Amino acid sequence: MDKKVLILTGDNLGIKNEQIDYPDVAVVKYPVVIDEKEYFEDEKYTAQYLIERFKKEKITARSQALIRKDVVEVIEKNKDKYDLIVHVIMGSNMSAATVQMAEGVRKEYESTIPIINIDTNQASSGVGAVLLRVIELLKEADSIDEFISQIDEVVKNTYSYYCVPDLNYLYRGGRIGRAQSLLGSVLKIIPVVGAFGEVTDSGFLPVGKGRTYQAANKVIINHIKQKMAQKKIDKIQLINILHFENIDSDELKDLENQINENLTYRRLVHGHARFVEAVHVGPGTWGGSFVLK
Amino acid sequence: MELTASDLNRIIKDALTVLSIEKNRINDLNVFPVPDGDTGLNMVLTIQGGLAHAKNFTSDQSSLSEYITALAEGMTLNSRGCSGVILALFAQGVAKKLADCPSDQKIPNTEVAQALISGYKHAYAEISNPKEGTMLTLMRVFAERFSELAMDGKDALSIIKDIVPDLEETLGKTPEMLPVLKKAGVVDSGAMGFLVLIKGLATGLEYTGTRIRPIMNIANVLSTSRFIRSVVKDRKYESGKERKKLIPLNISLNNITNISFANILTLFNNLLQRNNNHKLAEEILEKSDELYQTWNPDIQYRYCTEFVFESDKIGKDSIQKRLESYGDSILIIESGDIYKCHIHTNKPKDLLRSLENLGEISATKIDDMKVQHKNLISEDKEFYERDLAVLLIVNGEGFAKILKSLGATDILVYKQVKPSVHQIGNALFKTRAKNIIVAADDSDILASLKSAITLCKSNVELIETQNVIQMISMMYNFSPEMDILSNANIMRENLDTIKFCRIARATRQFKTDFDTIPKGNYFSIHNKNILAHHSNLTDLIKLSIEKIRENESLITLYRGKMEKNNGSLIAVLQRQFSSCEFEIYYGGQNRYNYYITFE
Repeated sequence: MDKKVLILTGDNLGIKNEQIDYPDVAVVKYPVVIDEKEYFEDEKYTAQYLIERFKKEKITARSQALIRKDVVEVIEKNKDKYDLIVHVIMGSNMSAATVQMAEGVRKEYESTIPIINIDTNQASSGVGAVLLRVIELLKEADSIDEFISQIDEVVKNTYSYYCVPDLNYLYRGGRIGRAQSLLGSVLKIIPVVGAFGEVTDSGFLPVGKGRTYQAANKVIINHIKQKMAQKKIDKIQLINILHFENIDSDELKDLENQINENLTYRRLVHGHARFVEAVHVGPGTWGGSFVLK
Repeated sequence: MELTASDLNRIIKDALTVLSIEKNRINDLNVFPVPDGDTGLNMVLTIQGGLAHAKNFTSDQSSLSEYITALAEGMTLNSRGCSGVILALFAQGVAKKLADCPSDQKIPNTEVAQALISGYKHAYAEISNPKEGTMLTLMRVFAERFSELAMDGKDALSIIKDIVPDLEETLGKTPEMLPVLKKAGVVDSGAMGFLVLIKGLATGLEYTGTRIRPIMNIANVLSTSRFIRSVVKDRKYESGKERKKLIPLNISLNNITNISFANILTLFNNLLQRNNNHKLAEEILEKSDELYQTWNPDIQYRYCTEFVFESDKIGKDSIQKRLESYGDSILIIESGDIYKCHIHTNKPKDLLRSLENLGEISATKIDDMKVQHKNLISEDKEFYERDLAVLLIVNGEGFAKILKSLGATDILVYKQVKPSVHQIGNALFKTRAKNIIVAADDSDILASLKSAITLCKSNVELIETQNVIQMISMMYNFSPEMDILSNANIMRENLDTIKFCRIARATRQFKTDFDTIPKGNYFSIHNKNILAHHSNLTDLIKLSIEKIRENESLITLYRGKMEKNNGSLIAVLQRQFSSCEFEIYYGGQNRYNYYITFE
């Protein structure tokens, strides 16, 4: 393709910036407010940092929408160097404010540079998975039109699943959506929640539950297998798995093993939890995102 | 057919999913032999029973013929209604032929053709008064066409796909073959069910057939037809003011699947245009009366009765003769000394009593067809309040709370006495849900549950659980975000994921194959076998855990009604099995002191 395209995204990605295999990319940081003080991700302020504080102290943390000024700054800096900007955004079902801001910016720059906003209907590893798949399609496409025609399918066919031992972090962050039904179990369970590309009217959705990490991982595998059968898909295009606290955890290893034993896929990425993502999941969470097309 | 048992199992499962999607539409066509509206459901439950029975023959080690034999056996034992019995007979005939094939798992198309011929011939032969225009006709056409195409060099599933248009054509002719269908304005429900099944086999989940439910079910058809009749009889169509009220009757004929009703509507529209045509009015009155009467026949024998009869004292002919004095629609499937019997009768209990001394009766099911019929022709009036419900039938208040917190929307708790068809029917009714997933914690409840489902107007998926642990397992996989069939499929595939044992106390001395359990001793049951026994409960629990546990890390005890909250038990177990985590919950079950799960 002879057009120059800049990819713009936030750092709610579930992967490191270095894992984005595209030269023209700008990652804007989400603000995180801990006990009413604003922080941004850096070497000190990481997902592990925040989760450790959650475990040791009684802190309150919340995330905020991407700051418009930061997004505009990226566009101003790059508008003359590129033919198109593709902004991959956390789902409006998770953060309506960010998507609204992005739409406002797109309209403002309409006559200057075309911007495509991709509302991923995802958070964390789901946004990262969509981003990586979009980059693959961008590299393969012969024209912008061909590329654009494929985006919707990627979004609608992306499924994320998270095993969240303590749902209260999602609840406090207002992201729990219909997964609220998983609260209040008599048995000690590990709830499995999901974000499905085709569902735009809820935060996280209830998927199932397990009493051990192996059982919770099996719920993920069962669910994605069912989706693949429904959509007649034999091979998953891209999987992004991550543990928000410990990448060497047994939980994540088991998930990877179960994926290898039960699913056929083209590419598997070992993701990386970001500072802002830890706000909503709390300690012990793991999961993965699956792009079927 | 180069299929493995596991391939065929998957194909049949997909076909069952397709049949499940269409089951209510098939129910709505059910007018022959009795309009009780359960053909689709009966076919689904029959195949579901067959699949459950064949579960142990789906590995790569099992041959195709072993699998089909088990499937046919399971279908026979679980067959429900005339349609289920005929389907089971067909499967039996197919299995009988395939059992002779060498077990190298590759069966040539010519052998498949012979098996299908054997299937339909067996079904015709075993039915005392086989009628054309039913499922039997489609089975025959299917087998004959397959035989003609067997040498074409295509694989079996492609041939089946090619036969579908012939079957569709034959289905369309069933009203010409069976006059009652023509009067009722429908094709045969069993034949339709068989066609859907074949389509499901050929196309699997790609099936796009007739998933959209017609806008008018038979209840709506009958009430609209009665309304037209009253308009014509009272000559309301002649007044300009009254005519305006008839505008809602301007329904597109494309949306009407009942041929007789479509005919009445056409005549009525003609009458409106011609205003005063006495002959047309008479014809409408006659046709609507005929439609009404066909769907409201005098049900001579009220109870559709089924049972399994095991006897070495009398044979099939004697059983047939005995049954004939009690009713009609008699179907008997023979399998050695075991007979699966189906009859419509007014005296089911007398009939069963008369056979008691001659053999063993089990799996008895008695459906009240008058109630079923009333259900079929009654209209839905803003009945549903939610889309999906999960109704679980369980013993123990503790388990009821646990299952509710895992997402069950409705629970029917029973104590010593298992719930009746009436109680289960009420519980289904109270869900007020369009789609209901239902399961019970005891296989003894299944027969009542199946009968209650036939009385329910909702779309019901039965999960055949046999204990409460399977119900916990099914609820782990429940997602209210998925549709009923996806949920049911995932649940069925994951029923046995939790290893468990149960502990009870012997109320009398009894013997097993290897041991004698003294009265008062506790004993544990694992996989339906006695695992161990001991006079001390804690020691038995420890012993059972030692024997069952492999690499599981979480052990959960669900205490029964008779067990007090014993905090020290967990401490004792924790000391002995330090690598495991232990949890204890109140289950409240009557029969077992403890359920112990290993996860």
